[in-house]
Amino acid sequence: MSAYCKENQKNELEERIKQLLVQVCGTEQVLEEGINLLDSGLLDSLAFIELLTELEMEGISIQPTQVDRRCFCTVEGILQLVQSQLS
Amino acid sequence: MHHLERIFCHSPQKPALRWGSTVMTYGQLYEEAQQLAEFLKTGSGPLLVYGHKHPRMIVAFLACLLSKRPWMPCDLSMPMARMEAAAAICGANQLFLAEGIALPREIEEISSFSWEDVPPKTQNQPFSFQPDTVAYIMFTSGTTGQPKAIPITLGNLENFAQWLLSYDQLASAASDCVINQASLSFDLSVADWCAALCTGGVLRLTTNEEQQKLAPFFAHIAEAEGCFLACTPTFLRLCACDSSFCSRCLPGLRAIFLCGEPLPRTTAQLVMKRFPQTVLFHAYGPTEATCAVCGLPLLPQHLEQEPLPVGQISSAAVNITLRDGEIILDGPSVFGGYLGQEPPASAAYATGDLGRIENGLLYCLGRRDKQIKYMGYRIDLNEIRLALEALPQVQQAAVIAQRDSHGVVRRLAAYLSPFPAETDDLRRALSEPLPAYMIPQLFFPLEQLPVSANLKTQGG
Repeated sequence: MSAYCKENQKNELEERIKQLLVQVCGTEQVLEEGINLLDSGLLDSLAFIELLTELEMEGISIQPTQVDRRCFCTVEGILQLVQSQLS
Repeated sequence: MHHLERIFCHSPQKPALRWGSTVMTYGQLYEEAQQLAEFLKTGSGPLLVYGHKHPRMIVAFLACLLSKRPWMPCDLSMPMARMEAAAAICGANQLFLAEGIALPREIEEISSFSWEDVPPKTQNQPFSFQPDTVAYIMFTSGTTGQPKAIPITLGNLENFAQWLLSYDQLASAASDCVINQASLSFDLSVADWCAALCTGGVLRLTTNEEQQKLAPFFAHIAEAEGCFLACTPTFLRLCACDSSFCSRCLPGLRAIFLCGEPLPRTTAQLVMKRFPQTVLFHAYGPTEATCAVCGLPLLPQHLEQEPLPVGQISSAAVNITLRDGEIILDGPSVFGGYLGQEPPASAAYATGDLGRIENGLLYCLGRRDKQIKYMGYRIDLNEIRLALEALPQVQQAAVIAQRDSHGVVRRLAAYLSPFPAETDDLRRALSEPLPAYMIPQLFFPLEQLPVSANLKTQGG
């Protein structure tokens, strides 16, 4: 039961982050398989700032000085980062 | 500029530049600039100075002043095609590899040299500054697809420096330490090296890596007892995302000079709350009028409405007026016309920026032409369209700027016909003629162009 709940929570969080990325990058292209958000130029400085601001408003505080920028290359990387902030 | 000579002569031991663990004193800076100047005297015409934030970039700028040859700062990130176009427009034939990093490929008719090729000095060049000598040439995006060359004279530069340092809070912070953020080929950087060298402060040149990681960048600020930071509002927003960007962690940060784009009200509120004692100086000015022509220290009463004021008319570096809503600048900071173009009919410069003057304060309201402001850069969308249409896989293109609810440009979108299967290739191909900030983030088929945008594109 609790494992199921956790899985459910993770899925919800993943959906929310995907939604946020589409919003801040302005395209669903960010959800394409294997895309590198930084190299593709999709998650540029302004999108990065907006993503952090939006997450902050949802109570998830990510400090740019504390994290490796490469975590932001993939949706999975961002998800892991957010989860580590929550736990 | 006379300040400089005084500092060189009286305080040669004072540190002038810091870059990573490298420190260069005013004495060393002077000696190296003199050595390079003597060598530059053997050539003529503008000197391309290629590098990123290396101390020898500043050595080269000073050597150019001494040898009366204009410099053209070329950042390592500048595309080769753009550098070639720039060199051709100003008739440059020589390039200094300031960082010792070679060019990706040779440029025709340009000879390059590095510090190792500079012979030892035999004599000093006298300081003699004539106001109409061109100090530097910078480039801005042009409608025709070619960048436009802006020559800035010593007289322009002197007037800018005098105006900037007439603000005591800025001058006193700068005389301790100045933190540079902008690339040296972006004219915002003129504020930082000018402020440091004219007040005898230390200029800390920061690398891209230090800025991206932020922690080492903050460490620079924390180390300084008092300091002046010149940066774009976008960079300040990034800094403010981190809660350690506050007066408790960075007590030495005394003045922040912001120019290049309007500062969002929310960022101003947040930063003023985090740094109650720090001067947040909001400035305005096009590259054509030497970095900035007006500004003001933001106070709580300025934050009541968006956009924030960008300067006080009465204390501006030039005369500022409005003509049909357009900001017009007239005075000693204004350039004399683009290189290779007909000289302008009037000495006054029509900026293309729309403005409003209220209670003696200037407000910026956007552009009257197809140019946009994006992360501090002024971009002509037509230049991007022409670069796209020059690619073999594209026949027709339209480029629009997507904006947020405040009208601030968020990203660039290109609409193409035919629409190529691979957009990654487009990005790579565009990086040959265009700098990174001009490459669109999004690509769509031309038929998806929003109707309103289409009308604007057609209507001009």
